[in-house]
Amino acid sequence: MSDTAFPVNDLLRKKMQTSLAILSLASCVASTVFLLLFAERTGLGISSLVEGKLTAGFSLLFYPFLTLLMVLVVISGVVMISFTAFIMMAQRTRDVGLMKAAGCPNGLVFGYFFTELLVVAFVACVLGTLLGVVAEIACSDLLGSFGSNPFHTSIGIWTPVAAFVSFFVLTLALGVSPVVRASQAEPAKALSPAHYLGLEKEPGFTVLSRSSLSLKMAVRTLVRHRSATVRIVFCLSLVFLLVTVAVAGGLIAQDTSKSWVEDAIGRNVLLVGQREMVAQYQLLCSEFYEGASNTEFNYTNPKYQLTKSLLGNLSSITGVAGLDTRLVVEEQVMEIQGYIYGSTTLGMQSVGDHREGASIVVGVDATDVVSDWSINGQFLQEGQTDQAVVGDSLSRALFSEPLNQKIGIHGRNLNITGVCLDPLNNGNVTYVSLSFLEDVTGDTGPNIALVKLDPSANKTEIFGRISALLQNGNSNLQVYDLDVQLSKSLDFVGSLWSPIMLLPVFSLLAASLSLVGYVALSINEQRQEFGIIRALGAKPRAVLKIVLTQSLIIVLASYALGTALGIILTLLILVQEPLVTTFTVVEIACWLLVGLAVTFAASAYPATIFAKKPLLETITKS
Amino acid sequence: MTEKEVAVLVSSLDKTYEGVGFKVQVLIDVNLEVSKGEFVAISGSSGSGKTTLLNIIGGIDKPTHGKVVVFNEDLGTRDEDFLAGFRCKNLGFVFQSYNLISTLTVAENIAFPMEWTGKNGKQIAERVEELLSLVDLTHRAGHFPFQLSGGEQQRVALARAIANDPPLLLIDEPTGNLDLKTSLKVTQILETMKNRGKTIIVATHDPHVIELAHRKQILEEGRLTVVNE
Repeated sequence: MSDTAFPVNDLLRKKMQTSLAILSLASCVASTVFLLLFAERTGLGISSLVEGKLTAGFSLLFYPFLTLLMVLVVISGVVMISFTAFIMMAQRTRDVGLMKAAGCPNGLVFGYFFTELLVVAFVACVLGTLLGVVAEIACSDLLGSFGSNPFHTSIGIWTPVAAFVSFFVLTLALGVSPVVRASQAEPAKALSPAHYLGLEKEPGFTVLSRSSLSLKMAVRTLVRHRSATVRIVFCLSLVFLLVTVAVAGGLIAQDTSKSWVEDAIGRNVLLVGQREMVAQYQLLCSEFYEGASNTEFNYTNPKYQLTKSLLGNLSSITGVAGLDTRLVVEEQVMEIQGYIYGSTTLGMQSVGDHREGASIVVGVDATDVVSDWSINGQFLQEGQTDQAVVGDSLSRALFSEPLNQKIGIHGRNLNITGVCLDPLNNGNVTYVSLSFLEDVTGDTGPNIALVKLDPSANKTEIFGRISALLQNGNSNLQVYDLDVQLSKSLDFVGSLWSPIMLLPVFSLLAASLSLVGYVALSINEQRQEFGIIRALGAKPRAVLKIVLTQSLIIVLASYALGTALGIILTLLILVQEPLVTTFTVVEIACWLLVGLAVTFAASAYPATIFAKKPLLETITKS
Repeated sequence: MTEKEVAVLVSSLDKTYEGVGFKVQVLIDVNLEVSKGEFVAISGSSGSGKTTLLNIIGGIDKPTHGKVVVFNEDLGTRDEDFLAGFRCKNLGFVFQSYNLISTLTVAENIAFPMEWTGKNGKQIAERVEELLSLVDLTHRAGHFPFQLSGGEQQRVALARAIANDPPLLLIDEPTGNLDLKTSLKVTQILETMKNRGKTIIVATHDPHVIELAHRKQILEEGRLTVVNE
């Protein structure tokens, strides 16, 4: 028999084992290629969507998250493939032993089985890559047709090619180790299942003596096959980690970023000002979700100033909880060097340069602000006119160590006390005291008023009363519901996170496929024993119970490990100052439980199919 | 003279295996009647269909044509759930290659079929002890199958087959792979079972086992012939 005829004939003869191995491996490759392509398309899509938008602070939350997800997708794919390759070749070890026992030289034995691995790996990787690409294109088209996927970026051919090459090499590298071990082992050892599945020694682990024998059988099988069990638990843990980071992290990050936006813009707030000024303020708010507008506007035009009598009338309206009067101008601001203690130089050293740029400068009364920004540092203190708080994008663009530096406005240097996350003008904003700004610009009063309403008040009614008030005095004054801008900003943040939430769904499907592959291979290995049990009088559901017990143990162990690590990673590293409400916790728990149920249900599929097989088919040796 | 009750009735049984490009007729018009308490030995060359016949009588395989009635149940018409329960209650099967569960100890292998009958732990433990003593393997109770010799595994398989005290034993080549001394030990156990009034159908070439039988039949090229009554 020729060197290639044997492996090919052997593969064809063992149709069940071969097709199972190819299908498991192909499904792993397909799901990983799919996830990679989907994540790439989503990542590229999001990147193109947020170009010129999204403040620096929001980007800081968003990009590490997406990067980590991509890394986890790649790692879990690699682990899933390595696991399948290991199981596939471990099952051939007995054949290696048989050939050696028959006198076949080591080199030839290795050659035969390496050729088998080569054929299986090549077919599975080609099949898997094609399936992954087709599935991703189909899925993106489908999502596009439902309007759920806002990204229409094209993906290059190199990702699938690179994935194919990497997975093919990886499969060979990992699958070859059991073959090498078996070809070097004594024939008696290679022939023994005790050797190739690591059963040489009885495990110290004991099952409770009162446990049912089905449970004992399930647990001992897992413990004895510890090599394969550890691999599948590791593999699934990674997937659950990915799912948790995507689900819990995604939901928490989404809630947190939405709360930042809401706190910065304010809810139940009406905007009052001259019609052009109100429109310009809306434009500044929309920079966050629509990008830079670069329109020329003369903020300091005296006609925009609001009179004290108007402001007094506004604050006296019943249901108005607060009045935040602001003077909004555009100014050239300058970075002023600061000094910090250098840990390496052991002395004071200067930080920063003399960068300058245009920024929206907002004069506010520190006691009246309706916004509650997420701030690194602290907000302006009452009565202090030498302080400034800069927006996150301005901080990133002009400052090195903003909290140790000053900002120059109109030749006056102000201490930077905080950096705030602010959607206004996409974070290119500076907050100073109102009196300071009035002083340096020569203006006599604010040009915008934010009217904070009592949560219990009827907004429509107050809106109407303010409109009436404005029409009585100056017809060019306007009231505008700022919740419209808040809603658009929140929708934009939501649209960034929602595609990411599809990743855990697909990761779960990929993990389920891996688990199905593992269970199928595991059943195939225990097939005859299950047949014997049925022949002795056990009903098919008794076998199902044993297989499902094994799956449940694996899934629960992986779930506990993966979700715990995922939550730690999310809360400690990914999302600073996370907002975790009871609803978020319930939502996360539901998602994760659905994930657990889906994975477990998927593992039941091969067991159910097996339980329905005719008894004689299961009892005979393959 | 009173007529003996029939335990197993096989009539006009055919079994054909078909696949792509092949068709093998394993059993041809087989007729067999075994009374309760009877010990029947079936011999025949390898591939003559002995194991297939035992599998069909045990409800593990289905006939292509013909009828198999065991304790008045027509097994060909029953579903898998019924057959499983029927085997558990009425049949003890000893396979040619022992087929012990590798993840269970000797004691657990013997106890396993009793778990499905609803016996409590104490009853099971007592029965296991009794059976271990019968097959002389009390000292091996905690060992796993791969730690046993072939003869010991065969004795465990026998103990497992009679764990639920079934009225019918189907035994496939019980001494085929064993040395003379171990064969004799297994034969003794079979004799004990015979003396306890079990109905036994055994596929064997072993003259010691055949000697125990009330009746010997030969299966040649799928056809069953009677040697002596």
